[in-house]
Amino acid sequence: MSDERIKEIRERIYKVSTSERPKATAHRKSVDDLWKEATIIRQTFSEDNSAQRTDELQRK
Amino acid sequence: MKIIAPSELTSSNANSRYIFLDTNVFVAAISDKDFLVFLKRLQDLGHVLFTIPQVTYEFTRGSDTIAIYNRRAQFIADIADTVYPIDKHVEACQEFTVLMQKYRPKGQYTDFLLCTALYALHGNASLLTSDHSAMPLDLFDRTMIITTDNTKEIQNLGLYEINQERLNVALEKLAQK
Repeated sequence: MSDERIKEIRERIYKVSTSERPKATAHRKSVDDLWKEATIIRQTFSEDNSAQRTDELQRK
Repeated sequence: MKIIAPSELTSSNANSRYIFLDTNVFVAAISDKDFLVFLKRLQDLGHVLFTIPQVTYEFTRGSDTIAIYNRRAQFIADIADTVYPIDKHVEACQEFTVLMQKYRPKGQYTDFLLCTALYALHGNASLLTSDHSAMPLDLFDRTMIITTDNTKEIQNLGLYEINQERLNVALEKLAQK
């Protein structure tokens, strides 16, 4: 695969931004918005056959 | 879900804390809205929620598309006030690495890094986790317990902090050998 194609893939991936300082309170999402996301994420855990994995993580 | 948490953490005059969140806390947050509300309440009370990149790795494990990976990684970033770059500090905490090798020789790397974060921040931070076996009480105190009851099961999360006195004794023993 070409470097360009790999670059394209990388650009689509969420970058986890690290920082030693907390972000401003204003940047926090509401509980309702987070819960909408949580609902979708929970489904992805079941779809990738990781319901069992979720249990494992919760026990950890 | 019923959540029972000590007032030292949840009252309006609680001292604000830096609280690191383990992977199991994010799993609890996608599993029950009341727990998500609880985390947001902690922030509203002035507590600052931290995590580390390795928790993002654990939470995104099993993502088989970029979209799923992005959604999970974004969720972590949305809850945490900061993703703390603990990797940068491990080298400066080598004595703590040896202590963790001694007291948790079979520990997971993510748990080790979360513990190191508490050490790197000179005892000014706490860790919230339900993985009690990962935390050596030779070095840490379980200062609070938060109980969640969703009718199917009861789960206890511990809030852990460095015990400076025991840590100093352990370091001194290390220095003598």
